[in-house]
Amino acid sequence: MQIVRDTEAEIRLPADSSPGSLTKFQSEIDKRLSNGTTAISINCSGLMRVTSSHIGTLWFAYTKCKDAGVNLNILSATSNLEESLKTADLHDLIIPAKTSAAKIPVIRIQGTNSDDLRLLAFEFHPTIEDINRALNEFRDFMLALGIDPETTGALETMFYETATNIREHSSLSASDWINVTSEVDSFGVTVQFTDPGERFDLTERDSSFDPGKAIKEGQTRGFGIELVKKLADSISYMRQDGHSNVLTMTRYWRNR
Amino acid sequence: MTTRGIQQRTIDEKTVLIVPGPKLDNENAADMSSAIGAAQLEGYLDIRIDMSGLQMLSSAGVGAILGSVEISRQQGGDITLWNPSAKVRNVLEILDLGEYLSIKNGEAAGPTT
Repeated sequence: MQIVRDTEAEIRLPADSSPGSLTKFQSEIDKRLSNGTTAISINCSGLMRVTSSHIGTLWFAYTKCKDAGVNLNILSATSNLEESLKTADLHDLIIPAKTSAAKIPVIRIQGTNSDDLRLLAFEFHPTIEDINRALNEFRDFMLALGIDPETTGALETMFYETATNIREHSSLSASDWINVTSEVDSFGVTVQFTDPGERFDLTERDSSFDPGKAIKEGQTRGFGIELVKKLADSISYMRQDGHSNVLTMTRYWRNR
Repeated sequence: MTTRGIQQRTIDEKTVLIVPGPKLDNENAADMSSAIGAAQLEGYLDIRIDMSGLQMLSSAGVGAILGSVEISRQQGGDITLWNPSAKVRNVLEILDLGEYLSIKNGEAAGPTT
């Protein structure tokens, strides 16, 4: 089995800047936002000649996404586009440096000879933007395999909270990579995170969470590890070769 | 008023409705916390968070709400979570918060009862 994907998640900014093309593009942005997407990626690779309509359209996308709290990723911006955005003083808003550097390079979803096993492997930077993009990839992977909503929800939370804990506790730089592999088999879904940061063993963290006390004391942090520990049916940590954290979690099927 | 996808609307002199976007996570948890804090300072006792459109609630989002509940209760009011989806409710239940938080279904913008 092989699932080919990724390009469908992107919206291509049309090189043709006729009102019809750009209106269609804007409608697609509106449609994705109303569907509750958490990130929108615009592929600008075909844009050799940039017009004011293109800039206006990107500004439209930027303001729409900002108002909706949705990440906007501009992919493959041509030098002409970057220059035009700089001239309009919009470059740093629409293509912030951290987003430009944070692209998930390779997404591979490959099956094996066995129908019981599905694999996903990819890498991402420890930034809020990349974590959101990685979560979208992970979610799409599960949707493509028809995994039930309850399991998908649990795994999304495990994924997001683990990645966020790595970002906050492993002292990684924005240029480091977090590697993720996920295997789906007849028992459940296993997700493994590997990062080159300082030792961070999530399994060692205190898990004596008291919800009543948390409310009374106005606790605002520390729920992520609790969520991961409660959602994962098995969880293990290994410090690999003295320089990598390897966290492996499995969520077993409940609805099969 | 809208801040990073978080909208706020007054229902009456005691009641305010806060509507997050499709997600409440590290990116906008501080905005949610600020919105709640501002409502508390303005004297709203019935702070309603309409979660009907919320698709993802992270631990940071939970913290933004949890960190503010006791303040409202000490003022004689409360923060009520309206219409959370099964997915969002599941996050709250995993943390055993269901019995400690006020969760309601119905018309979030309805009159104070």
